[in-house]
Amino acid sequence: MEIGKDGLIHSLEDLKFSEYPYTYTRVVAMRSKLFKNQDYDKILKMSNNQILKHLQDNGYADEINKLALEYSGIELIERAINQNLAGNFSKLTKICDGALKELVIIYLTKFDIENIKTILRGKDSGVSNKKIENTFIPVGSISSEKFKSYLLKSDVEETLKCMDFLSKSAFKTILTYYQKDSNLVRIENYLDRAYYRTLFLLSDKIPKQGKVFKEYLTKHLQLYNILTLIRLKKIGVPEDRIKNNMILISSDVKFARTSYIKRLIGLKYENMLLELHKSYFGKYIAAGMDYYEKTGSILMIEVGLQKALFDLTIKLQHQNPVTLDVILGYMFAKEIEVRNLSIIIKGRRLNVDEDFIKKQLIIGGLR
Amino acid sequence: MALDGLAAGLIGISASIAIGATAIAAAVAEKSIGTAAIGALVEKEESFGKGLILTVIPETLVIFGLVVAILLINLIGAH
Amino acid sequence: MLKTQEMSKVFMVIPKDRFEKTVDTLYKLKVFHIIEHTKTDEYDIGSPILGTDILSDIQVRIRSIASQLKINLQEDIQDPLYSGFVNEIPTQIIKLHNEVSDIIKDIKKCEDKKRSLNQELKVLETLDLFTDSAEIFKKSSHIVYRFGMIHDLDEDALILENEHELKTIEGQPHILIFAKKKDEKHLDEILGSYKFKSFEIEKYASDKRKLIRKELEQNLSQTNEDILQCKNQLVLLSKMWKRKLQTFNTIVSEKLEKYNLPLSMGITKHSYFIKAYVPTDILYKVKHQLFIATDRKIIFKIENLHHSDNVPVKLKNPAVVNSFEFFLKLFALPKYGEIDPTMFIFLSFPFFFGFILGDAGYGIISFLIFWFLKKKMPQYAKFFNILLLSSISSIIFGYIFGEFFGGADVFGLFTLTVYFNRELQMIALLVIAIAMGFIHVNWGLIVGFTNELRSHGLKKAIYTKGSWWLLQISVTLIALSYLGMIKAPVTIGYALMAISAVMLFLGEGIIGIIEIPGIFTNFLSYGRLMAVGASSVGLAVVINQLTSQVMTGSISGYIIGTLIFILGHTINLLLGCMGSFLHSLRLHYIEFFTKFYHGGGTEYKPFGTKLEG
Repeated sequence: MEIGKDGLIHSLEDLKFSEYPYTYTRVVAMRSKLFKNQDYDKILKMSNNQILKHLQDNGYADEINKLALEYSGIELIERAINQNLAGNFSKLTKICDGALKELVIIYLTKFDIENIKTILRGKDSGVSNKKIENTFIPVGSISSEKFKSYLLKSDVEETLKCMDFLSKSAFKTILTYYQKDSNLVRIENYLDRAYYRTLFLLSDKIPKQGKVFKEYLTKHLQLYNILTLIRLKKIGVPEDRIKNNMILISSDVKFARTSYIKRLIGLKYENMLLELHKSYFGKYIAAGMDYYEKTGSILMIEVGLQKALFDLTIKLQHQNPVTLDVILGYMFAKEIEVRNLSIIIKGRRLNVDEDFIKKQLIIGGLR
Repeated sequence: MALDGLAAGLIGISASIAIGATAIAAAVAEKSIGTAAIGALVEKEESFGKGLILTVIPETLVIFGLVVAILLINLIGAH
Repeated sequence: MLKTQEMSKVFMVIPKDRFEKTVDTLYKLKVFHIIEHTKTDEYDIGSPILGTDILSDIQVRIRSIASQLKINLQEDIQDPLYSGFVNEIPTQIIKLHNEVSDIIKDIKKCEDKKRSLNQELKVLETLDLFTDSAEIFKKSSHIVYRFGMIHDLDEDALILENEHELKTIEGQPHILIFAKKKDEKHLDEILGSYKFKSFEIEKYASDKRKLIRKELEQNLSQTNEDILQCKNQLVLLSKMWKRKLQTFNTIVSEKLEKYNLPLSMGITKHSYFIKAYVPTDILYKVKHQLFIATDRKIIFKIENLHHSDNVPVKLKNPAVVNSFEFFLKLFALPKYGEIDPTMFIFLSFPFFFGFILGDAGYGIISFLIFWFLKKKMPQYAKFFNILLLSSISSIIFGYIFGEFFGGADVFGLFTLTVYFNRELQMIALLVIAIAMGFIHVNWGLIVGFTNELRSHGLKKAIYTKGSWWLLQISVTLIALSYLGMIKAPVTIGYALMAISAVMLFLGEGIIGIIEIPGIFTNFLSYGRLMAVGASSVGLAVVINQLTSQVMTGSISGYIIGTLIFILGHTINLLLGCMGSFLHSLRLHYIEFFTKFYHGGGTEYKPFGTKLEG
């Protein structure tokens, strides 16, 4: 059964969700091994080689052992952590079974979409195939070979033609979007919308635990919308274009409700930020707002918002320890860990001040 | 004078229900706990001891059932 | 023996110019359990000292090499033959790393080549199934051909008209079709609609096909040879470098551990500071050594232990008793300050094990097996000691129960006196088992009482543990009153029970009250000593009966009988050992430990010792 006309293709008969205590506990144990505050303090003091050794001691050994034969230095670190991310997620699909596995696989199509977006953007701007290949994240259903074969297509239109996880009507819509104004943004937004719609429909089909899943999804969606809103408003994109980039679902969710979003878009930039300040995300973006006032950069606001989501996963994990948010929370936490490491490496390369790097890291607990 | 055949039979059945039901209850409880303990154990070997203890906590149920069953069986012989 | 090693907390400040000497001494002494300093607003953590960068790089390479050459780095080997080369380690490792990396790259290239050769051969073989002549391809320039895989072909007019052949190879339809050159485009369109995948066969469309094939096959076998050669090179390297690499690894990781210590220390402008736990009895000796090494330039202060400190625990038990520390490591180490129960387990675990297995024959066989295994696997010697003691206990109980492989008759040589028949006296056995439970549980309560007395004082001890004794006394009184054995009225018993409940509430809160029936189920739980034991005996008796029935006198009877005897008793022995082990252990962990054990102690891991695993 396809999801609506505009969704991703997945057969979603009622997922018979049962209990999976083995998987949940195992994932909780995996999460407890992720890096904590003290680890990041230490890593910030280490040189690149020392970081490699530290990673080897803490769960990244397999990837580093293999890749060290070909690469070294910063490139080794980046490749190792990306491969580790992929490896962990495929481990996840291996230790889940039944309906939970289906859910995880659908959730991971996020990476398929990311990879497709990378190709489209790369082709659109004429970046070399080699460079695009370096940003490939081997998670999800698009294998390395498939990715390479997509790269070999001559242009954007050919690549679009081979996205076989979209339904026929969805594909037609996307093609028309592109043929009309060669704008990738609409396509990207469309893909994101399809993804979220699938997940929301999925959460409705899961009895009991679906509610917690929905809570996580809604916060995620709000985050996405707010970030897009802030970024676009800052650049000064006209109102109606902004609206096209939001993902709106007709529900009672604040930052996804059409009317509320319209109002926010209509406000002036500063007023909009104040409005945000009053909401649930307020306390997380307070520091970011100060930084924005001082430097005009929205970087710390974005960090604050991600932090909000991160804390939410921790809270959900404690409140509902034997449900599927444990899995989602872990996936998110692992992505955050990889992101943190990436930021440290890049920051080090650009000689950014240690304290400033630390502020950008997303670590559990409100600081 | 032993109890009448039907009464004795019924007592026998109730004794077996006592044990059977508590055993099933303990099994159902320990199922989830046991699998969760294994899951934690795979990632962290240190959790073996605590996992083992948590898994066998519901066994007390069976002992209650056993006591009830013994008391019931005694009723047959007591008369 | 009943106490863990006493520890003291020390605080050291080390000037930066004395750092190397200090850290070398700390490492050599192997007694400091370091307390990691967490970064605070006033005091940051230190950075690793210079030199760690290169060493870390080398360490990463060593591990990477080891994983490719399949060398195990866990063993702590330091071969004196190679220890002198310390300064050359970086150059040698980098050279080796490049060598290995080149070989791996070669293997990869060869495998790619192999893959493409195999693909080509496959196409050739498939073509051969259609036709092995080259003539048909030489027709005229007006004829074109297509060859390849196709899906769900539906006979179409144009295709039928033209010369074609359709074969299914390995479940996949393949087609070879000829057409006029003018129809080429149309042909491609039709083929395209059936998802045609074309194979390039230009080069095979000649007389030289057989030659080409031979060439391909030769190339393939050559490539396979190359791969094999590369892999042999790796094996050779592995043998050559094994001990050297392990030695280098030990040296490098030692240095790194020392030089990374600042990450665990606090830092000020001119010095590092750190706190650690040290066993009290060697405290002054250690202080003396440090002062010698650093010209008395460091500060070494002793601090008081706080109640909330997470003091590490080092178990101190004499020779054979310390084998039972295995059970504590499996479960949880004692918290610092509480009684170390290893000695108790040493006394009661083999006792329960023997009580359940209770067969002299099984005991002797298992003793021999465990003795043999202990010789074979000396690293698990302690674990096998536990089993050896348990086997001896089984022999003793087997003697008391008069059981030798289930019966009192020892291979017809003599008969054991049956002091207590497990089969016939089951109810008495049950009573004895529960009585042992009563003793064991109360023993636990005594230990718990002592623990509470030491840490929280008499009042708390009486409320949390003494209340259980009062409870048991009250229940006994009630039972005796009902049975009319004593003259006192029942109300006294009930009154005492109520008092004990109140005391329990004061000591442990509502949880204590909920646990009240728990103690009686704990007693009953020891009934398993009888139940599992009885099942073991019962099975042994059945096996013996079967054997004697079959051993009628004919040769086949003897053979079958012996088989049944050996097989049956082997299975029963295995089940018996497993059951005895697990049930005795469970009784200790759950019925015994819950009466006094807190657990949660951290293991004593001094700086300079290798971390396990």
